[in-house]
Amino acid sequence: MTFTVTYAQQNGVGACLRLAGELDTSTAPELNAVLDRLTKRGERHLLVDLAELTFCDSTGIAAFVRGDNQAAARGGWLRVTGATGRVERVLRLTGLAEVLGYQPDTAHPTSQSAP
Amino acid sequence: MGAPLVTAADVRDWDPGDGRISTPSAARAPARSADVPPRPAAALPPLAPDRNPPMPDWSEVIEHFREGLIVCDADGVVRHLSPVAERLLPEVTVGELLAASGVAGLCTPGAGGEFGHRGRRLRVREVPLSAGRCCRYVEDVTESVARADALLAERARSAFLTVVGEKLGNPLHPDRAAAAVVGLAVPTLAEVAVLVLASRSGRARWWRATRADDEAPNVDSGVLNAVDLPAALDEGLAGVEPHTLDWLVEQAIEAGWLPGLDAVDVSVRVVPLPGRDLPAGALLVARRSTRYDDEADVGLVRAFAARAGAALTTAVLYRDQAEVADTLQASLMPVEPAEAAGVQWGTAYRPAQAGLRIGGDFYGSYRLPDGGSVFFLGDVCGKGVEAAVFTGQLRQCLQALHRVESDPGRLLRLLNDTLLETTLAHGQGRFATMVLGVARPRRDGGLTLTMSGGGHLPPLVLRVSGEVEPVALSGMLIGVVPDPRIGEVTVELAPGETCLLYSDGVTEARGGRRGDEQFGAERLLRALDGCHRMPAPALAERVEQMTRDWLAHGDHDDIAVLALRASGPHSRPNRHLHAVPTLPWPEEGAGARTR
Repeated sequence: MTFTVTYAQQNGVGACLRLAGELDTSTAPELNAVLDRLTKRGERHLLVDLAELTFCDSTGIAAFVRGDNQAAARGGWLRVTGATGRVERVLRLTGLAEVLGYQPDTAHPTSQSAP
Repeated sequence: MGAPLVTAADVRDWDPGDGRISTPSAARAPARSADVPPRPAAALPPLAPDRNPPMPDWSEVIEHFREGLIVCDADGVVRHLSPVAERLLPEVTVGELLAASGVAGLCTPGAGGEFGHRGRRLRVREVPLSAGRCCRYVEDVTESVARADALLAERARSAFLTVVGEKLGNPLHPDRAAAAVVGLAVPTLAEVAVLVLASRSGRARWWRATRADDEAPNVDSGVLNAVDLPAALDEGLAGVEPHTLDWLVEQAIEAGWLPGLDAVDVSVRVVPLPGRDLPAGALLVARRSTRYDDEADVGLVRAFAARAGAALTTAVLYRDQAEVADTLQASLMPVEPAEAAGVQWGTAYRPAQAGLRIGGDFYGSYRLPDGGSVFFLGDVCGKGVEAAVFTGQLRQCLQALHRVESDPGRLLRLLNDTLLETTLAHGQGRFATMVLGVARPRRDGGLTLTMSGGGHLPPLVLRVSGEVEPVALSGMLIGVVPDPRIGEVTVELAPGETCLLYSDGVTEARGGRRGDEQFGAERLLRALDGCHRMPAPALAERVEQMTRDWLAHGDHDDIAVLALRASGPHSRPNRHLHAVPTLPWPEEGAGARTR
């Protein structure tokens, strides 16, 4: 089971993370650590690209929710994008797609709080 | 540093006895150089006559021997007696037969030539001299023998303590540790050893070991009311070593601990077994052979008690912790659904950490005053103790909230708000996915299920026709956002139909031929084909069994299954009541109807 987090600064939006592999109990701490680092550095907007993520369980979901909570505490947000297959199903099943799904207009501060 | 004043070569030939060191003289030094023979007698200039070495006066030399000398002639008559021999053996007289002295050991000594005489230990060796004469060298070895004995005893004591340390090891059970303690004390420390544990709720338990010849000690045990404990043991349990030694024996006999031992010749000691604050217990040792007077002996008993106390403390600590863990664990285990009219419940639960018996999946049910039941099954993020504690909070919330709200959708929103409040307060994202519903019995024996979904896997319905239908139920995680979208659905179950709730531990079980394939929803649907006639408990068990069979290796997520079957109009009395013998009460079903 491999999991990687790649970091890319994205102009206009904030930090962009690209996840690949499987996100579960054993790999979620890695994502949490990266998110913590970014939040501590002052990144308020985190966009997480899930296109290459093949699996995500409840601990992965927890990492996203936690990241969003931390960002929200500083007036920012965490959004996910590009989920496919099983990961997309999990996000849809848990209703998280509605909460954390990235809509390009959520980048505007005015629409931050809209789920 | 400059050149050394004296080199090793200079020193090698010096004779410290010739006075050169105290009065160094340049004139004499060459006389002892290497090319001069070392024996100085001829080469040296003549010295004053009184400096000549005198012929040794042997009797004078012999006087300073540590050994006494007795020289006998060929007839065995004592001819010479050194002063030391005279002092050690005053019975021996010069001019008389040695045998007449009456000291038997002199002529026929024991092993090693040793014998006891006038409270001393003497060693004698016999050496033949010329003309049939014979000399006996007599040495007083009392002190060295005592020292050797003390060393051996000390070695035996430390060997004993080492064995005790090994045998007591790391006991996890106080009873077994107590039995081991008394067993080890006999026979090395005592003929009878009694261990009394610090009393718990007014009762003190004791263990006793008595010596059985050539066998392992007999160990028995009993309980005494704390008030009936001998006073000496009370003192011991308070951490004091009793001083009044005389009364110890009477107290031990009165307690019935010393069968077959007579008060007159028994020696008894009581020592506390050190614990964390107060002693873990007190040890009473009794024996006949030697009294516990020797400081080393008492020290050994104390050292033993220290080790025993440490072992018992560990065991008691472990037991207490295990009791706490068990109690907490029991409170976090899912509670079986409450009996309800018209519903047959089936459950299965398999935590990821089987040894822990608790996990992040949960299910349960509560009866509603109107005859219906609230039921739920869900999954919190994470595994293990932390997750289990969260499921406990969740269940307690539901238990309280279902009394004020019985509509599933509104109940789930209430739960969401409650969780959101507590998780925000604790600063960590804690959430759950769950299905929560209310089951109400219908007149025809069917059930009406109103269910709300909080981001959990949708339930499956097993129809009488054999069809397996996924219920269209969606919704959002509980405990993440304020005002989440909660899905709601109503499902009618005809008699004999079953609704199945399960956690993702079932569908995400990895196994199969490749070992990492997920069980999946499709496979679950197919596997349930033909199971529609199964009673709910059997169905739940079957789902869990299938999952276990699928799993390639031990590693898996928590698994929970809850099945509700409409039990039909004629199955109202539940299975448990059938198992109870018919009681002479008038209406067996009355209780169920009035609920």
